[in-house]
Order: sequence, then C-alpha cells, then structure tokens
Amino acid sequence: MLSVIDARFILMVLVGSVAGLFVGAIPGLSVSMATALLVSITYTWEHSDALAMIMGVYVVGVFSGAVSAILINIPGAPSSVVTTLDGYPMSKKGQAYKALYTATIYSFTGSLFGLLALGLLATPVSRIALKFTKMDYFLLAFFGLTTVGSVSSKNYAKGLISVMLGLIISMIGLDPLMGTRRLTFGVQNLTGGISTVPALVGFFGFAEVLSVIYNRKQEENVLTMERMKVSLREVLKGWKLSLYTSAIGMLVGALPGAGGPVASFIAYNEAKRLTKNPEIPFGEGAVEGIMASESSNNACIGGALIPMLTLAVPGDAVTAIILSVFYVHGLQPGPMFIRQNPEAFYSILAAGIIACFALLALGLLVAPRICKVITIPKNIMIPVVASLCVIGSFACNNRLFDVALMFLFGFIGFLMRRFDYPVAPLILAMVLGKMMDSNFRQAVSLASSAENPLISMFGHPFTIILSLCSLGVLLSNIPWTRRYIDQMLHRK
Amino acid sequence: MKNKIHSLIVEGVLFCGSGLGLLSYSLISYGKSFNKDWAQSPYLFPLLVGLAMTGLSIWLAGEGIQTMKKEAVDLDGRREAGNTKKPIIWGQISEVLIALVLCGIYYLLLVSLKIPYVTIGIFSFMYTFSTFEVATVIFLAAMMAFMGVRKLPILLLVPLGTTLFLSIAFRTLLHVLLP
Repeated sequence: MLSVIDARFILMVLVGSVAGLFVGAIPGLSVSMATALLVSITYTWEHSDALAMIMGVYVVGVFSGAVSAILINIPGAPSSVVTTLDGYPMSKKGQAYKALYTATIYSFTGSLFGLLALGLLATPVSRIALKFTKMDYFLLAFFGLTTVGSVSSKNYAKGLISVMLGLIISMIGLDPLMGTRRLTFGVQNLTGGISTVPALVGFFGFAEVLSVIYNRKQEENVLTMERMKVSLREVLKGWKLSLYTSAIGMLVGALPGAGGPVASFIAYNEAKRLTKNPEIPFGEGAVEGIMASESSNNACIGGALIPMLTLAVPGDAVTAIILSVFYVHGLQPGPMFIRQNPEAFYSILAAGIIACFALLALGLLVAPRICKVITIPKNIMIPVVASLCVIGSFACNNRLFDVALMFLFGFIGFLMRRFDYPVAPLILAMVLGKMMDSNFRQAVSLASSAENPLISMFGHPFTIILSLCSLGVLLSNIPWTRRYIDQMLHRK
Repeated sequence: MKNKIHSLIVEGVLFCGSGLGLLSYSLISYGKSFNKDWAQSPYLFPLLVGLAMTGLSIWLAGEGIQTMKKEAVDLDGRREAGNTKKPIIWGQISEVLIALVLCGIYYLLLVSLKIPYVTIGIFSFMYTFSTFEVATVIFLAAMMAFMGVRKLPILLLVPLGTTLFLSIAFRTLLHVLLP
C-alpha cells in the first residue's frame, strides 16, 4: 500500500478533503453532487489522482454533514439527519463545540473501522465472488435493487418504480451484446447511450438547485460557537458503543442502496436501547446519539466499497459514482479486480485512510471556524452551483447535448423528490442496468441450450440463496403479504 | 362531498402508460427484428422491465384507490393519509419554472453565441475567454436578480468574479473544456 503513496497523492487527498469539508457542511451542496462533478473534471487525470481526490471528498464530506446538522439543524448530508436530533439541542445549550468534537472523533473511528473492514474482507469476498455464475450476478444486482427500493422510500412501489426508470435509462443506446439500437427514437446523440455523468449531475446537482429554489422561504438560524474545554477521556468513554455502531454501519453500508441514513437510524435506535441511563435523554442532547450516528454513517464508506470493488455492485449513490470513475478510467471492478489492479485497490484504501486523518485535523481545527461559510446566502450560491452543473455535464463528452440532458434529468429529479420517489434506486439501477441485461441474457441463452433449463439457471447454491433473499425482500414489502404475515403472527 | 382523485392513481395511470408503451415498443421491435430467439433478443430485458413497470403502476393505483376508500369512510383518515404527503405550493412551482426558463436561456446562449477565443496575456499568465464566460456572467446576474439580490455592486461583481474564478480554475488550471 505504501508504494502508491507519494507527495502528489497525499496532496490530492488533502485538496479533496478540504473540498469535502465545505461541500458536506453547506446545505444544498452534497457529496454525491461533488463526486459527480469530479468525475468529469478528473476524466483526463491519472486514476490514482482521481481516486485520491474523490476519496478525500467522500470521507470528509460524509463527516462534515454533521457541522451544519449541529449548528443550524439542517443536515449537510442525508446521513447526518440523525445527528441533528442531539447535535442541535447540544448547540442550543451552548455545547456546540463539544458536539462537533464528539462528531469528529467518532466520524474518524467509524471511517477507520469501515476502511479496515474493507482491507480485511475485500479479498475473501472476491474469492467467493469468483464462483458466481452469470445468473448470480444478475440476481445480486436484482437483490440490491429490491433492497434499495425498500429502504429508500416509505412506499415500496415508488422505490421500485424508481428502479424501473433507472433500468429504462440504462437501456437507451446500443445493447451490450448485439449492438442493436434501443429506445433512441432516431436521435443520433442517444446512440452511445446516456452518459452517467450528466445524469448524476442532473439528478443530484441540478435537482438540488431546483429544490432549494422551491424551499427557499425556509430560513435557518445559525448558533454561535464558543470554544470550550472538552476532555478527550470523557469523549472516548463511548468507544464500545462506537465499535458496535461502526459494525452496524459497515454491514448496512455493504447492503446495496441502504447507505448512511439507514445505518445511522439503526445505530441510533441501538444506542438508545443499550444506553440505559444517559446523562441527558436522547433527543435532548445525548452525546451517545452523536457517537452512534457519526460512527455508523462513516463506517458505511468502507462497507459500501466492499460490494463495489469485489462484485461491481455499488453500496450507495456515491459508490455508484465512484464505479463510473472506474469505468471512465478503463478499470473493471469485480472478483478479479484486486488481483489484476492491486495498485488501484490500495490507492482507494490509502486515500481513505489519509482522508480519515485529514478529517480528524479539519474537524478539530477548521470545522469550528466555518460557521460563516455554511451560511453563504442561497441567492448567491445556487446560481453558482447551476453553472458548476453545466461545466460538469459538458466536460465529460464535450457535448452541449449532455447539458440539455442534465437540465432534463434535474427537472425529473426535482419532480421525483416532490412526489416522494427516491433518486438513489434510479441511479443504482442506471449504473447496474447494462450489467444486469447482459448477464441475464447470457444466463438465459446458456440455459436454453441445457438439458434442464431451470436447473441450469437456478441450480447453483449461490443462485438459490440469492433468489430466496430477493423473493424474501419482495414478499416482505408487499402490503398484502405483510398483512398476511402479521395476521399469522397474531394468531400464534 | 366529492372526493378528488388521489395523486397515487394519477401517478399509477402515468406509469402504466409508460409500462405499456415500453411493452409495445419491445414487442413491435422484436417483430421487426430478424432475430426471433427471445433468449438472445435485445428486446427481452425491455419487455421484462415494461411488464414490471405495468405491474407496479397497478399496485400504485391500487394503493391510491384504497386510500380514497378509507378517506371516504373516515374523514379523519384524510388527515392521516395527508401526513406523508407534502402539499404542492403552486407559487413556488412557478418560481421553479422561471428558474428553468432562465437555465433554458443560458443553454440557448451557450448554443447560439459564437464568440471566438480571446486570449489576454498578463505578464506570463495567459487568460482565455469565450462563449462560456459571456453567457455565464449574464446567467449569474439574471439568476441572482431573480433570487432576490437587489444590490447593484453584488449583481455586477459576484457574476464577474465567479465567472473569472470558474474560468481560471477549470479552463486554465484544470484544462477542462468549457462550452
């Protein structure tokens, strides 16, 4: 791992980390948006430089969502929603510095835990993945999409409709096996398919711009921060809880689509259950609440990278974007990735670990001083973000057609948010669509020439497990079957 | 009192149309193609997605019908069902539409303005500007004015400064091609 680290590499991580601090802390800018923009900027760079900067933005950006969550009660990132529950009450009591200090320490431990898990588990998972058949890959992606549909929306049908929309977008262009044009309707610019970057910038960046314009009447109060003495020993009291919630975060992060928001909710509930007598009740400024939320959402980073690197199935929206960086740079994640591209794997790991230390330094030294920056007037910031979206969507293919697509996707993304359709499943489906299509058709083709097609398709142990898991997730989320199960349980 | 059609039903019908559209597209394209083996057909996956989309839209519409029935039986249910739904404020929607129009004008400026590259040399530093810079200054000023900035110095200096920063950062330093 040490061989990939040099001064330039460290500098790239640090630049990314500083950018991540501001992007994550300013409500209206998101880590997904920043990484999506970075894909287009880093298009011509060496892949290690690109990955270094993106990991810096990712690790520190996830943490810095807590800064605005604590100071203005608006989470800078979706995974920091739970941090507002106790962070803002602490700030109102004049303990903003303590809240931020705790968030920094436990974001650091959580991130480090997740990345160490990535280092330890990626190779064994890759070995298992080598035994996967074409059908297994299809089912793995299918399982991921059924799961993401269930965890990202209150209404399962809406989550799945988002998945279908993503699959439809992924099908536009030449089909991956025969090269036949699909869904292009004679538009020449669509023949090459829809590039991931304009779609990502549109759905995350421009949709956010429109959402802020829609909600701009809501003003936020910024609490001032006074430096206070915080004992490290006192803060480190919660290390056992942190380890436990980091493990939750890592596992939830590894589930495709679940990501930080789900992990932090589960971890918060676990912290509530385990902490019998908190000094301050949960929801009124309990430090344990911040510990659980920040440890778990940062541990998700390493967790989400495990399926992305070993199976090419991203764990959340940002890893879906990182996956597109790999494709842009000609790298192919999957079971053979670590064996064939060890330097890229170690680049990610090293960049993540350096970013963890940058997080610690920035969180303790810079974050308490950026109260003014996170309240840049939205009427100045939003037009600038719209221009950045134009640059980001144009830079990838140097086509103005992509800019038009970005505006279109941004408007669709805005409508989806308004009508409670989650965007994350759409993005995951868009990234996975082509892989699902080709693997499914190859599996069906192989099975059609076999003696027993059904056994050929579903007869392998992993296929059976994945089919049962997908079926289980689907059935447990259908209201009628859920009602039936509830009735059965009540009868017993 | 007459119940309004639940939004889930409208959404269900809309997605049902998309699903059926995709289904018919797949079947028609399959019919026209020379490859008549479904296992290898590029239209197999769109067909399955179309089927799934149609099924899901029926599920969504079904949920809408159920909610409407509940609301009809129990008027309090309306409040309960409304809890998860954000009200749509048309005044704010119109602001979003105006913002979209401004972005549309920005796009048209980028497409139609043909300004040749102009390079200014300041000692050893070369600064190049073109269509993007001119269009962006106009867009930023218009968008800020629309978003409520009224101070003239801010309306002039922020768009100029931001565009200069973006242009130097992306075009000059990062060598990113700009429109």
